[in-house]
Amino acid sequence: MSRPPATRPGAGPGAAARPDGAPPGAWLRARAGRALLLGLAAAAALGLWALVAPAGPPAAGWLVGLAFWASVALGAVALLAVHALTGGRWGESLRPALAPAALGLPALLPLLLPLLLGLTALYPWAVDPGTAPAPDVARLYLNPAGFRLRTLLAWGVWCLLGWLMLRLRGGARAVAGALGLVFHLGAVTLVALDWLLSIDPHFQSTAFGVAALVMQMMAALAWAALLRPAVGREAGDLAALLFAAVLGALYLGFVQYLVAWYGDLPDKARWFLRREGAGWLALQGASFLLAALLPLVALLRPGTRRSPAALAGLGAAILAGFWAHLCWIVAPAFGASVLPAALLGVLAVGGIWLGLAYGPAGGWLLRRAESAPGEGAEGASDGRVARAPDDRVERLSGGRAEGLADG
Amino acid sequence: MSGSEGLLPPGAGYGTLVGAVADPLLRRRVGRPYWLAFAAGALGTALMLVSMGWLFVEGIGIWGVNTSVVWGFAIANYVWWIGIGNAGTFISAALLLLRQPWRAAINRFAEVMTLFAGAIAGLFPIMHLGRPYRAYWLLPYPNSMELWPQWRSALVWDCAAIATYLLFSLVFWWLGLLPDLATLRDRAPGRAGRLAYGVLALGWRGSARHWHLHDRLYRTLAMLALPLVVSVHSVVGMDFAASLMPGWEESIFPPYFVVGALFSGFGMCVVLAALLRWGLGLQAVITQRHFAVMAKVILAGALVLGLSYLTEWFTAWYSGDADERGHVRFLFGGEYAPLYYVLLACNVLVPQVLWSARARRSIGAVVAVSLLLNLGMWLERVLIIWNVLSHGYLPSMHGVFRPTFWDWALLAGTIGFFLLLFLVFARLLPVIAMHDLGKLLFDRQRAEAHAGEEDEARAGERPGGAGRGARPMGGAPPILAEFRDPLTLIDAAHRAREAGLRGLDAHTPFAVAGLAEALALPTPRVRPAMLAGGLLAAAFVYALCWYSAVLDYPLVLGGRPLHGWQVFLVLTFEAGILGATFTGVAWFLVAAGLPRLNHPVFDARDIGRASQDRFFLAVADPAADEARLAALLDGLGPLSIRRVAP
Repeated sequence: MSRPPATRPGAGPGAAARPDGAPPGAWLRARAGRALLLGLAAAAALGLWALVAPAGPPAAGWLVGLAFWASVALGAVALLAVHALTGGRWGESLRPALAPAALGLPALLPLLLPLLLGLTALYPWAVDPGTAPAPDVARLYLNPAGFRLRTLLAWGVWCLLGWLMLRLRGGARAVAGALGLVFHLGAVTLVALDWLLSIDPHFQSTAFGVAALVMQMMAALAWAALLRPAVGREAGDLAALLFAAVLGALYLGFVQYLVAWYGDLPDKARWFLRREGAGWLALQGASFLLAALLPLVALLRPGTRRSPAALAGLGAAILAGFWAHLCWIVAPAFGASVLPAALLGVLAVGGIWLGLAYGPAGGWLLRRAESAPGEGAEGASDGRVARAPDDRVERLSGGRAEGLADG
Repeated sequence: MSGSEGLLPPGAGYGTLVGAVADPLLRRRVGRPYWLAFAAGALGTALMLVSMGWLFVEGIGIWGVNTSVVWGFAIANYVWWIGIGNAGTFISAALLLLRQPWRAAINRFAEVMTLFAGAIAGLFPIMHLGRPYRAYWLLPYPNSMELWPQWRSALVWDCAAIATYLLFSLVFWWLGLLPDLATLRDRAPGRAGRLAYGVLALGWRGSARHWHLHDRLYRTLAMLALPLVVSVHSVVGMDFAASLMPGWEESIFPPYFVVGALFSGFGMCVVLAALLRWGLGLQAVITQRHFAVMAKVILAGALVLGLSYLTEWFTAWYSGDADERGHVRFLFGGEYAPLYYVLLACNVLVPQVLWSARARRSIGAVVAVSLLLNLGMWLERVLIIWNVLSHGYLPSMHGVFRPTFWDWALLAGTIGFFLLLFLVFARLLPVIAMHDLGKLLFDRQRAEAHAGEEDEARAGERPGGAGRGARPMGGAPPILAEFRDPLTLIDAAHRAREAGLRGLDAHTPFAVAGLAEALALPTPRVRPAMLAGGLLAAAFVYALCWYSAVLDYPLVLGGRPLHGWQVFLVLTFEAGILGATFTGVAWFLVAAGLPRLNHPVFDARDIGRASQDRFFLAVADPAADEARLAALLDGLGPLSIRRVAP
């Protein structure tokens, strides 16, 4: 039952004491500074580890941390974009929890640097292009410059998308959301392949990208559940979304395994076999229990679905299980020492990211995104659209003050 | 964002909505276009029967299949039809759970589309067996050969998945139809119609208790429908992915087949909606907005499909595998390349016009796109077979598929059969769920009356309501108070319950939201029962698989372990859904006491309107009489208060 301590703040006593109606994340906002310090300390520890011992495990730990928190942020962006298309009560109620995460994407940019500069520690093809599946793949795709370019390009668009989803209103938001989701599906497929699968360049799974996308949404929903944005019937909406996301992630994971198992071809089977050794299987088993079985069974009870506290507990479990799943994908290539490194990585990236995204800079960005009508909105409708965001800012800043007083 | 805007005619009443759907069915004679279409459908059906007969006589050699392309048209048609079939139940269930108001006008015929298309789809693998009369060998039954089905074969999964899906869809459709059958019973002009619909309606009387049960079960089934639909088409995708051919062994196939199925199913749904709208004069309830919304779904499907194609091409290149790359080269430059370009145009390019709001508002444009995409999806299924089997690992096995007359005849025949079935359905049963339309109208009225606030206010003033739920009818003949609108009925129910009257019930044409609370009906506990039933069935099937594959009939297959839980789970899942479904239906019939054709309330005057446009409060309390009830309901303006004559 290893779980990332960095996810605890939201579920901590402060959140439990939060009076209903206060905006989610206020408790977190009040502790942004301390989170930043913790994150920096963990990052320093990882850096030291990389200096005194082989850099593989600490780099892999950093990758896990990065993938974990990027998933939360990207899932938030995707959910906001989906809501821009479908509308619905759930989006309004989750928005306060998702908005800071989506706007926190730029804060992850500096954290990408260790990954982008440390490719040789992680990926065999970065050391020896001959390990790529084919020479032209190494030349055209699987090379350090391409990796960096793709990640940075995708990040740029994602940052923009997150911003637009909060800034735009009405029809322009829907169009941006639709285009954004198309980009997102493509970009997640490539970036997930780059970051996670290309550790073993000979393994491919066409569904991996879609699975990553659904798992990101699951992680974002779990994060939102931790922050308890929803009360009453809205908690039911969040519960239903969580249930669907967990089921979807489970389905896509199982399908990949089933196809590989049934085909039993060497390259694909090897990837799974390497992850089947007793310890790794136990890790994936823990992930299945925490992020699939527990939520699916618990959410069958109507009482759980209506209780924000219970949902927050499930959110923590799902995030812990998601972390274990990421470790299961990344770690077997480097050995068991990745697990403590991944714990440090989640703390480091999470602490720094929370410190930046939920700190004063993040708050400023959030106010800017929420306060003014978007550039895309027509001038004629200015008066109409300006009202709703104003209310929201009031709620947010009011809650912020409360949260600070709390802490 | 208003829900029902543009979905219902502005001045609609409950009666006019029922009339709009039921009258073309019961009172209007069909014209020449119907009979022309009917003749075409009958002709197609005849063609299908002849093709099948000839197939049974001659064997599958009459088709274009050969030793390379062993699957040919039959499996492509199967995938195409099951894809169309997949969408109906999904549309109905998903839109119900997502509370989409535009569901009401399209769910019924979409469900029927599922049934017919699914049934037709199921014929193809059977015909393709070569010895179709031995199709029952796919089922586990005690037999003198002491053989078991091979659980690890995707064909057996197909059989289980399609059977489960058809049975489930039948139940889901029937449950939604039941109240509408009662409406037809009460509205049918002739005795024969009343009798036929009456028997089929099982004595549905619109009781608030029954609606409460119905609503709960229907929603629960909708929740089961979504994973079931995903599983069914995933199994179809596994038919391909489970083989080792380049271009098929893709983990994205299961989800991608699901998306493709929904895409083509939505396309067919649009075409059928346009036909029904025109043929039955349903312009009032199937509106432009329905087409605009479905157009958006189609656009989304086209985009996802396009990205899936890209992923496939890219991964083939990325794998560096010569055969995978050769497959993609064959797609673009091989024997069937022109068809592949048509496929890409129909499925990905053409739907892009739906980005334009003007195109989405034009019903003609949306229907044209839908027709093209159905063509594209058929090509997709044909090409996914041809391109792979014509260009496998062994160059000596490269060969081209050339369809024969019988290939085309069977495809055309099944389309004619589908048309015929649909035309018959449109004349016998309501193509639109009337009670869902009523509910939609009620939602609009309630929104206008700001009933939400009143509800809360009421909840506050309710004196000790929870413990004193309305009890079922006792022996006394009930007194019925008739109302014109459901909001008043809710008020009346509150008053009656607060006055301590017992034996309260109501009879309404649809599930009136808030009525169950007003009568303090207990939440039906159907879900735990369904869970238990589902788990039991799942455990049984898993045990069956394990016993037969490990103990009774061990057969090593490609070195895989005998206890292949990975594949047993597929069958276990289907069984679980089926077990839960049947438990739910049995529970519903027992708890509702249906069928019961002779209930005393049917003796009441005008009770037939309880299934159309009137709302009755029923009080079966020996202590109550008409005068007391009239005094209690003072100010609510009941149309009548009468005791049912015994």
